[in-house]
Amino acid sequence: MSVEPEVPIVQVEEVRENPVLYKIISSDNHVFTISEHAVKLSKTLWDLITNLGLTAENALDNPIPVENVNGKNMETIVQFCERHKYDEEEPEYTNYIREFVLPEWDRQLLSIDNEELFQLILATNYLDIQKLMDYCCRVIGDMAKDKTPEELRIIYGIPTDAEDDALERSASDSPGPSG
Amino acid sequence: MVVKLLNFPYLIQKEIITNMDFTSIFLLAECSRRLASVVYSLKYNLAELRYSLNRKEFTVHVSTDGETFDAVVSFEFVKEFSDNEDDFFTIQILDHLIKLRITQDIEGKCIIQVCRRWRKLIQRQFQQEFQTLFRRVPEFVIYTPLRPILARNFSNCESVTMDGNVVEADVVEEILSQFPNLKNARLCWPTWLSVNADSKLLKLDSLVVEFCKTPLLTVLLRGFTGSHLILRNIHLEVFEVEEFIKGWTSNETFPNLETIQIFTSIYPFEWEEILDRIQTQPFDSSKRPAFYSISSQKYMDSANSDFDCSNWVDIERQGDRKLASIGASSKLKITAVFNF
Repeated sequence: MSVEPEVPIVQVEEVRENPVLYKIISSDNHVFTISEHAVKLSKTLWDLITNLGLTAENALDNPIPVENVNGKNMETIVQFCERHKYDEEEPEYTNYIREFVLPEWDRQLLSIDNEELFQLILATNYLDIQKLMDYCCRVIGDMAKDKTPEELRIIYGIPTDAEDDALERSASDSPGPSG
Repeated sequence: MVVKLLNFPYLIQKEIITNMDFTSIFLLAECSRRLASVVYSLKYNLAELRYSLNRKEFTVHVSTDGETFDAVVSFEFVKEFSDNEDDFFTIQILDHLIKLRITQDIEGKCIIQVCRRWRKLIQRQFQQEFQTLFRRVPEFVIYTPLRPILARNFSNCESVTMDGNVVEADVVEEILSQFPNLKNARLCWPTWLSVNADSKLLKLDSLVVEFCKTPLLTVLLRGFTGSHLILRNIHLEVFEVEEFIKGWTSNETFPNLETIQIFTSIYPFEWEEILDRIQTQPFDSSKRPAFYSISSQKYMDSANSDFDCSNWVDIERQGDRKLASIGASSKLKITAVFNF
């Protein structure tokens, strides 16, 4: 019986980099660790880190509070950013209709209920993560496929013209702040 | 749980809508006036918008690259809906509440069925909507055996394709009269068509004719006054090509011609015979450039708009001494460029 020599298991990430890590605190006080490459996908966070002057030495001692994003959404966002941190930069879109295929991993990640998706999009918008925004919008856009206007109205909660008119009338009838 | 689209900030609404396919975008605009205003405020960078009209359908196609077209929706005109059918939605046009039903064909294309009696109203309404939505001047493809059902004059439309082998001159003229600013036309299978010498067809900027026979061919080769002429799959004899070249050099025909492409079905076409009989000059770079670029012409044979004329021979027109370059890139294709 041969004994295989013990070799240390080295994570791919460790081979590629000795990561600088940052700490993020969500609005409900969950703490997340995120690598430098991943956090760069968020323009908001990276601008914050740069402006705060956080470095490899002091990053973990200075957690970044993000008050507009709860723990659940932050977990999804961190997973997404870690997954895509080495992606090549996307080419500029030449057409407004986006021609990309949503990868299966991301489709699974974004298979959440619509209210969560709504909140995730707002969080993504706040953190300015373009790729995640594209993917979330594709998931919502795909809900429209092969639907009738009536079905679209239900899926996207679109009021009818009559409902919009009624809302407008009641808004104009209600007294203003002084009255 | 719904995703309330209108509750998102405007920029996110825009991102979501531009991630939809064109059919969904169009149907979304039908949901409400408020949403339509959002959908219509966005820019969709389309290369082409095309309306196809035939006996049963009015189909809207779009192209983002100018070459491949996708169907956005087809309006299928049916005789009548039966009373027990459901899945309708209604739209109001003028004082009429019109019932529509959405379905799909086997390829998944969106079909909207509507009663035949509303055809003109529906076409007028949706032609206008698609032009506003996509901000493109449409081109039309009209199947001519059916006397065309056009909703109105299209003063801004520049390109029309007429398809169908049973073509009468008055049908062609009637179609042309509905497009007062028409510049480009393509006629497919006008086999036995003949037009008068004052036909608007002869005055178009760019004309493509496929599979036509003598009556029309004769008129075209004597009376076309536009800039670009393409003749495909035609039976053109050597002497006819020679006559056309002589007509140009003697300053009798084709005063404004810039390019002509002839795809003859005669094989072998004795091109050298013509060259032996007409006076030609070899390419001289001091007299003209080696390449001719064309930017405005539709329906060009190749996507590349540059003709390499360095191996072509030149002929000179009497009077203004204008040069034309002629090349036969294969036995079946002759190209000439005239505005040097």
